[in-house]
Parts: sequence; C-alpha cells; structure tokens
Amino acid sequence: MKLTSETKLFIGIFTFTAIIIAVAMVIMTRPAKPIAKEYLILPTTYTKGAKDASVWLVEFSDFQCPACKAFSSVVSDLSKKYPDKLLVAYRYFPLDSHPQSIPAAIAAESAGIQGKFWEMEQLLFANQERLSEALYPELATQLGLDMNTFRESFANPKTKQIIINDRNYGTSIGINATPTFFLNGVKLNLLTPSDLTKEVEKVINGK
Amino acid sequence: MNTKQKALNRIMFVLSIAGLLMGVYVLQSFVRQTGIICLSGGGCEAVRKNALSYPFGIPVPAVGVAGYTFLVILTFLRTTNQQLATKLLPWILGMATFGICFVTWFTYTEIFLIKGICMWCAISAVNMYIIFGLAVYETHIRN
Repeated sequence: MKLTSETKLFIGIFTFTAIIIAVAMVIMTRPAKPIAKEYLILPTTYTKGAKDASVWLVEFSDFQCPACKAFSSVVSDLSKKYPDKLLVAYRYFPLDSHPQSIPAAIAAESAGIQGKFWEMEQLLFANQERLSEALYPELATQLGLDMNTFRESFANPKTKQIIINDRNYGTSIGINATPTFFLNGVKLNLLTPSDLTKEVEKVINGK
Repeated sequence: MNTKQKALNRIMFVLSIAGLLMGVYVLQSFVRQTGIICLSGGGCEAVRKNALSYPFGIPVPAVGVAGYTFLVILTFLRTTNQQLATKLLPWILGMATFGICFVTWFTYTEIFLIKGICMWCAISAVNMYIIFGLAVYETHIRN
C-alpha cells in the first residue's frame, strides 16, 4: 500500500506523541522518595502516640474540610488501637476556599499551648458545621482552658504564623488537597477513610 | 479531500491527540490515585476523589481516552484514501456528538454535584466542542 503524504504526516505526528507519552509515563511512574521525619514532624508539631514508634503518620488537614472530619475519627481510632506502635502528627493546611479554617487552626494552636490540642481538634471537627469566631472561646471554656491565655494566644500574630508556615511547607512538597497523609514519609493516595486503616495496618503488621 | 477539508481533518487530528494526551495524564492519576497538577486550586483532586467521577465504576478520563483514541484513528484513516475520507466523516460527527453530550453532563456534575472544577476536564470539554464544530462545518461544506 502506498502511503499518501498526508498519511505520512499523521504517522509522524502520532509517533512523536507516542514518544512523549512513553517518556512521561516513565517519569511519572517512578516511586517518590520518602520525606525525612524531621521535615514532616517539627519540634512544634502536635503528636500523639509513642515518640519512638517505628510507624509515623503525618496528616495535613483543614478543620473546615468535610473529608478531614471523616478521616479524623479513623486517625483517632488508629491512635487508640496502636498507642505504642504508631506516632500521629497533625500539620495545618488551611484551604483558601474555607474562611474559618485559619481561625479554627489558630484556636487549636492556642489550645495546644495549654496542652489541649487533640481535645480541641476533636471539638472543632465535631462542631464543623458551626465554626465561627464566637464558637472558639466557647470550646475553650468547655475544655477548661485559661481564657486570658487562650485569648492572648488567639490574637498573637505568631500563632497564625505557625499555621501559615505549615501551609507553606505543605505547598512546597506538592500538597494541593486535604487531607493528605504521609506514612513513614511516603505520601498516601487514599480514596476512603478505610483505605487509611488498611495502609497503616499493613505497615504496622509488616505486610 | 480538497485543501480546506485536509486542513480541517488535520486540526481535528491534532486536537484529538491533545485530548488523548490530557486523558492519559488524568487517567493515570485516577488509576494510581496520585495528585493531579491543577491550576484550578484543589478542583482536580475533589473531582478525582468523588464517586461521581466513576460512573459504573469506570473512571471518567477512561471514557475520554477511548473517545479521543477513536477520533485519532478516524481522522488518520481519512488520509489513506478518498473513499474513507468521505465515509468516515459522519462517524467523526457521531463520536463528537457523543463527546459533547458526555462533557456537558460531566461539567454539570462537576459544577453542581461535586462542586469543584477540574482544569483538565474543562479544557477537554472545550476541545471536544471545537472538534464537534469542525466536524459540523466540514459536513456543511461537503453538502
């Protein structure tokens, strides 16, 4: 069969495209390098579980994100189930589309200064539908926090800066959605909260 | 095919290849559950993680890849001989009509149900509308 010049042109374009796809697939399927623990868990990052646990899970989360709320209970259950084997860390990643995510994160950070970060985290997710500036002191009172200290930390620009720094770091490592999890430094690709349980248990049980 | 028809077929071929490239990129992220580079904020991730993006368990970009592959093959075969050039135009028009129905449905789903816009899906939708427009135009000048 004699090929027309038009057919040859199309074959040329198609071959060029196929080469581009092949090269891109090779690059994209390369496994990502794990991120070192000291970058993902800073001395100021709130954690729960054994500090020296061989399995560590870092969550980048937003208090106004419904998916983060769904995953939060799973993280809490995992932490309770494996207190000696799993270290859980929380990093802030407030999304621009959520107006209350930064104030809520500031409230959590302010509670954390008084040792009640995880309690505030649970309360914020439990009250996600009614997050507002008026709610945070109410939750702080509920947790029995010193209100003067809480108000001071809440208004302190340094508290907000911690949240912004977390978000900036998250952006620098390619995070663009919440929640994003890193298990032993490797980014997880999860569809449902039960996928998180499976992934964590797979590593804990050494499978 | 005359010069004008050749040019239209070339444009449809290149646009189909562009659609195929986008489809392959988004499909691999759906299959491997990895992040998508997205200029529309977290829209691509919201779309990827939503069950509505998997009608009957099929990832939406797989439909795009299949459709654009079909268009690439059709536009290519049209260059091989004059008979096919005429015969395959209605097939291209048919495929592009299905394509615009599909992208319109999915754009509606993104905006009103998922409440997030994936940049790649939006570009692909515009791409399919252009291919449809070119197919309609070529049918019109042929008649």
